[in-house]
Amino acid sequence: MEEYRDLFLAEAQEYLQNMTDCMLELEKDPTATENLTEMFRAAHSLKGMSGTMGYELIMKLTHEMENLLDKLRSGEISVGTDLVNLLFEAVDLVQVMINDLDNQKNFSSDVQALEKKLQGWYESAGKEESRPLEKGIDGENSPEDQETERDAAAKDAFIKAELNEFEKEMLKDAASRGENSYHINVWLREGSLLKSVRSYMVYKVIEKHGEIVKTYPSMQAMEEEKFDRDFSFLLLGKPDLDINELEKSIKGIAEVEKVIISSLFLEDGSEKAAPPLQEAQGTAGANAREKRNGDQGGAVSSQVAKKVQPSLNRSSEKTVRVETAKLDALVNLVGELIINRTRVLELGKQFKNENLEASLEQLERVTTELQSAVMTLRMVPIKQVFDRFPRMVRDLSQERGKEIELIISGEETELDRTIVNQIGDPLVHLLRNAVDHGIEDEEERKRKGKRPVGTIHLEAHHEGSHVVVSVEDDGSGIDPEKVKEKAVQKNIITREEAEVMEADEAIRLIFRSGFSTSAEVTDISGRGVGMDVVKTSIEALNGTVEVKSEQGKGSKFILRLPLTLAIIRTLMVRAGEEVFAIPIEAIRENLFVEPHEIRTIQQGKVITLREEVLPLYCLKEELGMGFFEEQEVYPVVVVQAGEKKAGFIVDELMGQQEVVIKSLSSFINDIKGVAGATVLGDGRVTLILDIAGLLEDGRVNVGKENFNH
Amino acid sequence: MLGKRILITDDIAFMRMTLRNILVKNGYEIAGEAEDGVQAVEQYMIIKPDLVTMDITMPNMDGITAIKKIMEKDPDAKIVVVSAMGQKALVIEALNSGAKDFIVKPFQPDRIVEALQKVIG
Repeated sequence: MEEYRDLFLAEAQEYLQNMTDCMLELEKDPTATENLTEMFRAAHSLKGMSGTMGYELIMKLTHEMENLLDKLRSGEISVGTDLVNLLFEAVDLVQVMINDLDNQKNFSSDVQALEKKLQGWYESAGKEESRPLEKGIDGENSPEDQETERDAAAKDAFIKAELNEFEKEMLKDAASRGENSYHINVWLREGSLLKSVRSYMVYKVIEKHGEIVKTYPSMQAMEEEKFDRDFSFLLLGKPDLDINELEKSIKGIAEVEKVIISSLFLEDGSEKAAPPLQEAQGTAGANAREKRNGDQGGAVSSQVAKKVQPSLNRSSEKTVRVETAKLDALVNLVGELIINRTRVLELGKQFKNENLEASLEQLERVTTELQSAVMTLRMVPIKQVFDRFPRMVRDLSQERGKEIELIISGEETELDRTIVNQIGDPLVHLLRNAVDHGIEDEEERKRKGKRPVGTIHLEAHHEGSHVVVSVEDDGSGIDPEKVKEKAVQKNIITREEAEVMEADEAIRLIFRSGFSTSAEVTDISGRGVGMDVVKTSIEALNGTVEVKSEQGKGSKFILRLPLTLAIIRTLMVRAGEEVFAIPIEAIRENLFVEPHEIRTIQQGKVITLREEVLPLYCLKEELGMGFFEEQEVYPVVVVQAGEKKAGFIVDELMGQQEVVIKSLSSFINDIKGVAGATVLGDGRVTLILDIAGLLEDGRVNVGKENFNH
Repeated sequence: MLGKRILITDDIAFMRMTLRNILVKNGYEIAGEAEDGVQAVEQYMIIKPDLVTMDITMPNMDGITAIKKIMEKDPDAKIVVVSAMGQKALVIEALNSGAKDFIVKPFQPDRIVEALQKVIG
């Protein structure tokens, strides 16, 4: 079973997400019953899957959820916030259990408590009893014990008692017509499931061979599975009845273990070992059967009608699941292939052979296509991250007593899996901030003449080779004066700096470390972790964060992220003997600087570029590979990471190139200033510089602010 | 019984995989896999399997409708319903629609093999 676990996990996750989505929609619009059907289906599937995997607790819990949802679906109970909360509680517990498949923490008391709650809900609301889990899975079903006892007594009577006059007559009549009576006893295998249906199948087979006069237990009891492993029929066989044939067809039903057919010979109105007929007769049995079929037919068709429509919305896409490790391996191999291609192309040039050149060209085209095809494999819709937010915002707003609507758009926007995995936390932070500090209380909103329900827009779209994700609220906005005041208190800026600071610059102060705008630290977005964490994590992905805010109207945070991390465009530069790759994203411009343009301030070199003073470093020197040498002209790469800008003097600008990032092995991957390595066409290994890391490094940590006047 | 060809129908990939593995281990050949009733009917007509396993609750077209459609096109079709617990009524409906037998989730390999053997020998 272990080998199925990953698939189980993945699918279970999908079903839980489906349920969450549906519940949120249902809460908004309780009349949208198609959501109930969808949820029911999800609970049902989860039950089946967890049962197969042997996760009994999950199965029990989802079974109860299914029961409750069934009642909801049939309209016996109506939907309310309390109920949705209870269902969420159940979804959460299932989630926790699924996350903890390994640790085997004992959840049975949690499950039991929740089971009771769920049961309590539908039992108090609906008159009907719950549908207990079938026996054999849930071994301790006490209410049925009484029944078994009663049945045992009845069975005893079955064997001893005699047929009543009417039945004796019937059997005698039949005998005179050449019809024989048979007693057919059928045993099912131990632990057979859905025994009632098995017995029904047996009934159907026997029915073809004659008239069933009597069953033991009664049809009713069979339907309710009030028997252990065996049941029997009294049959008036057709004249041409072939007993062997009958036995064979009964045994042809799965799970039938044993069949014993015995003839009954009536002598003077008495018979041996014939069953008594207490209440039911042949016709009564048939009636009961018809009634049963009728009922079920109706129930089924209405269920089906409800089911077909809504499930179209979330029907499974035509996809194949692949382990991410395999995908990564594929991407890596293609990376190697591209590198080798570049080498082969370079070697090929030396031969000046037309045929060779043509096939190399073909090779280049195909590999380029392969590369882009493989890159799209890494792309996943940002939906994967967005999906958990409706629930989160709902819970948060409930907690804060605010009414907030989260509107999501562009969730189908695709970007690299690694990035998707890493923007979750920053987005959580931004959304929490919006709920906590952005959106005002209802009172305040009314006073301001705003809609009492706050709105948060979460949006994603493509923009060139970037994905832009924005979080926008229609709350109070950020007050630049308050921000300045706070920044001064926290010694982030001086009072003098604060006085001359522009509003949008002031707002950007919230990204500085150690900053938090909220007057009171709430348990939601307080805790001293501020926007600086958001900024750092986005920048670690080669992305940027921007904020726009209008007081009284709201704020908008804009994240700009690269589509992929695996291949980047770089500028190759030479420093001393070595070639380095600088990501194009980080480069603002390239300059040639003459010695007289370089000034020295506080022992550091600077240049003035369009009235902005930039610190200037010699790359070779910074990387410890040589010393600054006097030259007539210096090639300079101007880079920027966040708000920090700087110029790096290099020995040669070598042009742009797309490179495949190879991560460094673990014992050297912590080097600040190095993002990874790549292999060039000639086979040389080149380091890719991490500009943000370099500028943050102690030696190079002289940011723009220090030079601003 | 060697190489009897089976068409598996279930909307849950996990269930298809579980069933596929059980069947393959027991010498059956998986002729196809369908994710809903629509696919099952389509594939049935193309691959003409010896037996179809049919889940009941599925999107687009449920198992019972699919059974009816298949039986309409091929009255000799051998279909085994795959049911979860608590679907008694639906299983009976499916049997009345022409399914030959049923198996119950969670799967017990020996019982599945037995059921299939009884239906297609």
